[in-house]
Amino acid sequence: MSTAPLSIPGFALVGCPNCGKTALFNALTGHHQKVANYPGVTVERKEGALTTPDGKTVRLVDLPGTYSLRGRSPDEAVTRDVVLGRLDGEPLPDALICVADATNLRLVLRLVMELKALNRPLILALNMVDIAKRQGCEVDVDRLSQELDIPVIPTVAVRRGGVTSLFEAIDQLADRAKAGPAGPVTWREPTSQEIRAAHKEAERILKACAFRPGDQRLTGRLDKVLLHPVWGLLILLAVLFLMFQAVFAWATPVMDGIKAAFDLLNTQIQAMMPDGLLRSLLTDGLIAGVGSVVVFLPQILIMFLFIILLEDFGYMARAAFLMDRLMGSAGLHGRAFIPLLSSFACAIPGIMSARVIENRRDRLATILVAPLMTCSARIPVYTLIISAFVPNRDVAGVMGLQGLVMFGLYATGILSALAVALVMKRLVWREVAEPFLMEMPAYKWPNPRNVLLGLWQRASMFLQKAGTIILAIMILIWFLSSFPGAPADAIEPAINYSIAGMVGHWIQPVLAPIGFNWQIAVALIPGMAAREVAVGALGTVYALSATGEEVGSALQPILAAQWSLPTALALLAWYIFAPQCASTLAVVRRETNSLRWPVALFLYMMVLAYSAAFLTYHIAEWALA
Amino acid sequence: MTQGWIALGVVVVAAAWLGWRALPRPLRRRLTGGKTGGGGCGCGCGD
Repeated sequence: MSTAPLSIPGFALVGCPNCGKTALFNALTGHHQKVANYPGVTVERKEGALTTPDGKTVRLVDLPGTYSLRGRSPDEAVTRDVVLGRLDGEPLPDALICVADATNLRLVLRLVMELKALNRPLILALNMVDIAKRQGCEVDVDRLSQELDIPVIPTVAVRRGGVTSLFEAIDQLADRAKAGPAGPVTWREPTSQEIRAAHKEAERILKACAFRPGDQRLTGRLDKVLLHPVWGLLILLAVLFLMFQAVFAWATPVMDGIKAAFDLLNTQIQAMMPDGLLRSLLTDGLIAGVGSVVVFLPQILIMFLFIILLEDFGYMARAAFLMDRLMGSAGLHGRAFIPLLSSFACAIPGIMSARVIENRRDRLATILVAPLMTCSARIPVYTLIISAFVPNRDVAGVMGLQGLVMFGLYATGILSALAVALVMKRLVWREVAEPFLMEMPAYKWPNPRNVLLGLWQRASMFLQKAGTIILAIMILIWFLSSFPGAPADAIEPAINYSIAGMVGHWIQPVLAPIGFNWQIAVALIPGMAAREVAVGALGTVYALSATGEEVGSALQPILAAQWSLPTALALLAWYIFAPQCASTLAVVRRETNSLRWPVALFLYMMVLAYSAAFLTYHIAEWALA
Repeated sequence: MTQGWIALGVVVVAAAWLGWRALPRPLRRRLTGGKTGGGGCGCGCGD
């Protein structure tokens, strides 16, 4: 797995979930990170490199959060196996850095004692000491170090506080690692008696080294409002609402800039190159296709800006708590909130994170409804159609109509997921729900560096996708839309005579009842690879369909002129449900280890998509008649 | 004519690359001796 030379010492970051482990990893490694999966499992592996003040290079792995080495979920099992050197292809770490949340020391002490019993070089990074201080928690660092007999370094990972001291401690351990390999690691599952004894010892150390006031002041005061059954839900709705308004209101100037840049590029190429196939490939295929997808980058980044800020602030765990009752009423496990929330970014990590749910049927229910949550790939499709068909005006003087429609699409996705889960749990699996326990992290100000790093990762993933899969598909779409060429006496646009045109016309009768024309039929086929590809395909198909002055990079005015409102609404309804993502189906196949579930997922989503588009189209036609 | 040949070359490369990506991951891993390129789905999960 690791590509680093064996002479480079390898350290591993271990800690409970939400202790600021990843923020510390970012602070230590900066942007020198590689993200992949552990072999054979779908648990994310993050590795980075750092250089100590003495100039030593150290490899650092950020392990999934765990409360003990008795890992139950696949994530926790990976952490245990890496720490014990049992994971194939993953070298035994030369030293461990255990990250502790200073505001909740009780939670990590037993893990520290378990790690210490392994006789590996160990450092305790006492993170979030600033918040602990503000809350009135006092930790006697020297005494804690004495009691545990390991170095204890106070840190504030989000502000890189304490990083220098941690580097020095890493330096010393790196020397020890260089001096020679450590002996074998032995560990066995503790008995209940040993667990009780460890718990007692942790309590003793806690009493000796830490003072924690009963009142958590700011966190307590904020939670009284934010977790209130009525006010809390209203605030959550308002936050989500603001997010969707911002997606439209803030992104427009940057999107206009990107559009103008692609238009300029188009004009330059047309001025520089003589008319020919390569020029057509560049302008009609690449610029019209890839350009119409890339233009949505600002909206995707604004959406993620909100998600990252809310996560860093500590609000997401509260949102999970607020949603638990709603999800429970639909028969979903409380832990399903995390996979479903991840699915707002992409269903694939969402489906993979369903592994946090131990019960197989709860997990399957979550996996089967996760693709109904509105993933970022739907954003280009939604915003394209909304911008073309929904007027940009205020409703009741406070909210924009476009944002309101977007909010409605997201809400429909969520409600559909809950409704499908309810049907599955009522009709297919009837089981009593398991209780849901969750640790609420302390509130903290988001760190700009972490936010920027998160946005950078999102932007690079999106652009990488646009520059690889989408680019390649657009080249093929251009080819299929250009050949065979039109006959000499042709009166219609050349694309009508092409392979894509023929395929589109051939499929169109099936899609006619839901109001889709042949151009949409052509776009839906490559859209199976990834949803946003359909936007690029529409860009290319309409660029090649256009004649003379109609040709341009802006797809919105073309769609507004050529589609009816019922068709546009039907396509929106289609996209809420359609299983248009081959990668999602592949991941469901892998996660369920069966072909039955991806087939079931595909069929039920396809039936829902067609039915919803059919109803939407005919109701809209009837209403407008 | 030159434009046509270049365009055809680009199309062939794109089709070959997409065909390669469409192969099952274990098969790709076997054919390349471990490296598959990753990043197919584009969400950062490594697929």
